[in-house]
Amino acid sequence: MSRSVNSAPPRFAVVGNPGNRRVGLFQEAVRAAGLPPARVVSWLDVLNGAAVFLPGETVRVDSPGEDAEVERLLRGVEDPTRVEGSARWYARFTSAVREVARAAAGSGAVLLDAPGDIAVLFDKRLCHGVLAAAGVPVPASPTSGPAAPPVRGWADVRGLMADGGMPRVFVKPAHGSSASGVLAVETAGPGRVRATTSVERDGAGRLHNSLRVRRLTTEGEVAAIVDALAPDGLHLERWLPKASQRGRAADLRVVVVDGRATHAVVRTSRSPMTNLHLGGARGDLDEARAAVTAAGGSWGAALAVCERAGDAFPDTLCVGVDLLPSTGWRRFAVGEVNAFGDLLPRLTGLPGSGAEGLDTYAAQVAAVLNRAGNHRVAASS
Amino acid sequence: MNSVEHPEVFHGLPVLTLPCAEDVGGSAGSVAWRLDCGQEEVPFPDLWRHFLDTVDPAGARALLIGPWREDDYSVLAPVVELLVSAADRFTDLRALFLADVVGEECEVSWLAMCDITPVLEAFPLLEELTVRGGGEGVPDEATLELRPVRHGALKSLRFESGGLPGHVADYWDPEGEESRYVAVSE
Repeated sequence: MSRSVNSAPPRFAVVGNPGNRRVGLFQEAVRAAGLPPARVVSWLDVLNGAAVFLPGETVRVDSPGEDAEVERLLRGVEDPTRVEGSARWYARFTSAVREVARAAAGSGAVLLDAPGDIAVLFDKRLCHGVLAAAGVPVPASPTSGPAAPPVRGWADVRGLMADGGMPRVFVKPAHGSSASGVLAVETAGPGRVRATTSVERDGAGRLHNSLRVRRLTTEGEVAAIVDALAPDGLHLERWLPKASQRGRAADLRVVVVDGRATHAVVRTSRSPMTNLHLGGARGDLDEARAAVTAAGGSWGAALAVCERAGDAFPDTLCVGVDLLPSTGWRRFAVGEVNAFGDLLPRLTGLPGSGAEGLDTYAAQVAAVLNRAGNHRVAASS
Repeated sequence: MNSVEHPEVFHGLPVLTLPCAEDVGGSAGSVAWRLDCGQEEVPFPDLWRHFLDTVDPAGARALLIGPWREDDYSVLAPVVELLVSAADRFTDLRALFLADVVGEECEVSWLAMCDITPVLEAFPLLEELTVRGGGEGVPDEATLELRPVRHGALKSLRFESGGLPGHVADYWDPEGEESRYVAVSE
């Protein structure tokens, strides 16, 4: 409470990997707001039990990714291309986030990202359950929520697809990110299976992320990969046909800051995965808005879906929502909500969002300043 | 990976997909009508009835059949039967697209096609017929078929698939009429 009656501006700390572009972009936003630089607390220090926070600091938790040593400590695997190990990564990462929260609370610092939210956001099964319970439209899933039975391998996947009347599903590692380990699977009758994935299985049966999306056409190939992924936990959801833009499947990444959808990009691809590193490309946002309107839908309603998804994580300042437009741009579902989904360098805010002219980082700094200002008003009135 | 896409224009007319939130009454011949069961998960017979009730079939010039199954794969034959049984009401139909479906909706080579000869027999004014799918025949399942047929108006017959059954290619004689024959691989 001392911060709310104190008129001093917020002092930021950011938990991240020093030198990483995410930390750099945040520092730029802090500087642009006329604030002193954020104190960087490295993930390496957190993992070594050496993280320290200062009283009154406002703590941003950012991605532990793109650092070989941190990745090795979290995943327990030397080869960064390996897909397996995401369950161990999840256990260690969420434990590290709890350590951040404990250290911050102990010194009177305030977190912008709640450990409980992060634990849900990095488990696609839990995240799906939370979104569904909040009334957010999501693709149907037989693995939603904490009570869902574990998926032990390809036989379970086929069983769930058959029971759910879902001939087309996405199979995702529960704790994966950036389409790592994701398969878009389609079945029709006995023995007819196709999968699209960036996973590559080597001669020894180890799985690697590749930059090439490939098609698997035999059940044996698909089963081998799914069986190898299953020990890390799998999430299944119906593969909704996505809308297209100029012949490419399209979805949107919408950033929600403090409850408001502030930034959006269209991502398009010739494969079911729209990630940029897998051949995805930025689409045209104006065209997407026009397509929604032409289909009799409302762009505002689409953004409201994202804000509702953000509201499901009220203790987290910013999330990146993957919004899936159905074919024809009429309906929307939320594919994923990402804790660190704000890396959209130089993209400025949507008209009317309050973040016009601000990138995603500046929008978050502004939101914190705004909160602090409101607290001061509340405290002085 | 999938080079097939939904046409925005068919037979020179902008494509309008049903079901549609807007009021579409009136100008039956000003658009190419596209029926899509996947979007609202309506059974095709219901969507077909809605189409006939909403649009004057006598004015319709172009028609596209989008995904005709709600979610599971089902054969095209009942759809062809419905089209043929209503053919006498479509007195001006010039263009038909069977299976305007893309890979995001269904593996195109798995589309359960059928004998499409009845549509040529039932629509004598048809100038343009496009058929997508039918590349990967499976024993005991329906596949694309085309029997020998004489047609007085057809100018364009287009197959888009990952391959054609041999008998379809055999039966079509491009020298016989003023026609185009195009097979597009996936």
